[in-house]
Amino acid sequence: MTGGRVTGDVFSAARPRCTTTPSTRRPGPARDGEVPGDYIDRLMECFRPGEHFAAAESHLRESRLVLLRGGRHSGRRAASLALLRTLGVGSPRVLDPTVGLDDLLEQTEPAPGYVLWDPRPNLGREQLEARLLTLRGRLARDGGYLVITTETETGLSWTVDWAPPPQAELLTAHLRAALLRADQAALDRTAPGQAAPGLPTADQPGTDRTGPDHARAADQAGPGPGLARAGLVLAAGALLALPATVSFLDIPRTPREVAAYAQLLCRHALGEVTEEDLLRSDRAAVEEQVTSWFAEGGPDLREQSFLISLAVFDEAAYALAAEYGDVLHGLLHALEEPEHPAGTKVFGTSVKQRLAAARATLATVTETVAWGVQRRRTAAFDDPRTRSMLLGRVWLDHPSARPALLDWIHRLAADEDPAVRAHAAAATAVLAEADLPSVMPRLLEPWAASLQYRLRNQAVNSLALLALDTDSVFVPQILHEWCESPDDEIRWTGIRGHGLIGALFPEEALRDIGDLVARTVEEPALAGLQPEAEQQAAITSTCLLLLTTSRSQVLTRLASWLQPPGPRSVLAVSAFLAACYAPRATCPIRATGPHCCAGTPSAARPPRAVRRR
Amino acid sequence: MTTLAEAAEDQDRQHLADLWRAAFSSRPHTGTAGEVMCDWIRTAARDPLGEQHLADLLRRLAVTATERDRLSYLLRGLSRTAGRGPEPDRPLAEACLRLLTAADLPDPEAGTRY
Repeated sequence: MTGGRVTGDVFSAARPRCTTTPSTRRPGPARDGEVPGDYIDRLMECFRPGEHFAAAESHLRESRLVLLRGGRHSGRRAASLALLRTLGVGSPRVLDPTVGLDDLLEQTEPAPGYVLWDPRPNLGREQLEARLLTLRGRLARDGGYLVITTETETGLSWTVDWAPPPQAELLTAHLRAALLRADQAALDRTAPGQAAPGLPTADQPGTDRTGPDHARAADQAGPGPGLARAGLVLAAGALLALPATVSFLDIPRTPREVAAYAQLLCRHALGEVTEEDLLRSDRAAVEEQVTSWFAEGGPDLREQSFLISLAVFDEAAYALAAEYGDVLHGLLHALEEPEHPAGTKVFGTSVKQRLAAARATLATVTETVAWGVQRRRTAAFDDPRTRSMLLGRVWLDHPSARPALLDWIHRLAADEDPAVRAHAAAATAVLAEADLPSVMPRLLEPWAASLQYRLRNQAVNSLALLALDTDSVFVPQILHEWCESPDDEIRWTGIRGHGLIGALFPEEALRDIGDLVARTVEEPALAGLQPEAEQQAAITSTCLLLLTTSRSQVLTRLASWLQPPGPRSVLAVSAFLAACYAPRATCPIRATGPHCCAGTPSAARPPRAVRRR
Repeated sequence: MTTLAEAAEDQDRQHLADLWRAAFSSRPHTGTAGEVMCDWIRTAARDPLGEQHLADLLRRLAVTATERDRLSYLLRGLSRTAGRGPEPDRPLAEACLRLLTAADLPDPEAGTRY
């Protein structure tokens, strides 16, 4: 390679590419040189045109040049190759994206077709248009077609939006191709001397192919030799109907993921992987995605902060995730460069691109707020497992980020907006599930001991969500210890926690609360500085238990407290009368926030102020 | 979930009666207990099934003479207040009297009904 000019075919089949999935292990096109024809041949076996492909094709045919705009991992490069192939270009030349547009065609000898993948830097619209016109002139003179892929909006009429084909269609195509190949490979193995070109057909003379590899496929194909075409369709149909496949297709996937999954399905057909493996692979893919976001070469710190924020504000307003993402960015940046505070680029962020990169989607929801029905734009990860996986991975794999994360979560916990606090509580529950021993002293215990009601409440809500989401057996134990703490605030938090979570552990809750009120009377030294506040908390919690838990169980316990007269009987009567005031036909509890309440029984939501006397 | 007043299990109702009895006989709670009971009566007066439940509770609750007198006094008082004034609540006043009969409570002021 000299002087920026590529001569000859410098494509290297041995160049290692991304080796994460079986489908990408085979040699792919290199950055420059020619894309080999047989690579495109294989691509075309599985390629499906998608919605705007025909428009792009006619544009390219007429203008010799088209800009194909598509999101990251949307398969726009494969589309560029397929476009040229439909125009008869066997092996297009790959142009160096770092070379300026003026010199673009200087770098190579005339060829029937070129691809330019994601040129940098992005030029302004006028400059781009002028250069493209020049390019088009050259292409018209020398012959050749050029497809340029880009991620960003150009505003030029040359642009065609690339939309990937429906993923079920793409999966079917990949699966058929993979099954055919597997079938061919088996044919070649079992009959090495026999030339078996082309596809197996029903009338092909019988070769003995009843080996274990084919047992399953043969079931689908019937007694014929190997996978006849009809059998193949059947096998594909059965594989596509698997529950694992249905759940795989439930979530938007990149073409690369679809290809990898098709390979896996094919191996399942051959009996090499089980259905559990299929389900596990799906989870592993989420994990891999999350890991790559925070690995070297991932998105920049601001986008990483946004991802973490989106995990906390999943299914909440996009603006919340973005706003608090910038706050987190400031904190994380201060860890890296304490001398130079981070600036925030205020405008110019494309919501669509940002969410596409985060594998998330915008939705408009209507919800009833204090002032009536309102529409909001929410953002949520496509795969609901991303949220907890991301928070867990960041916490466990990147402890250097913890100081900033903790600072950030403390801020969220003290926020004026109850929705923000609710999401912070839910995120804390996820972190606690991942790593309780480190989350207790850093978040939950400081909140439980706080003089601020809001933070103590935050500890209670976080524990409640932990108990509900994970069936954590630790929660009643934690509350038990808090109820016995010498610290007034911690005891208060323990009592209130029992009220909120008691629906899950009513026996333990009543035992702890009863013991506590008895002890404060029997041993006044332990009563603390605010016995009234504690008594009130005990009444509120017991009242809540009576309203939200197995009623008979609580009534039985309260009735048993009536004799002998003492602190327990006073508590029983006070809590009973408070519960009697609960308004009819309405649940005496208040929602804490959209996410917190999703899927949680109403029993666990924090109480609306119960009318007391 | 139903309210406490609507509890249908026999054992639950007995426990409710026990707790009410304790509430009425506890000096710091008796005032609140009276107010809450009036609240239950007002609610039950709008709902025949609720009225049945309440009559059952009152029967369980009115055991000693003190208890019978207290509940009788409470029902009559509420009935009188409801029957008077510029906008009398006749249904409530009548429900109170029905409850008196249903729970077989004494009538210390017999013959002086409004």
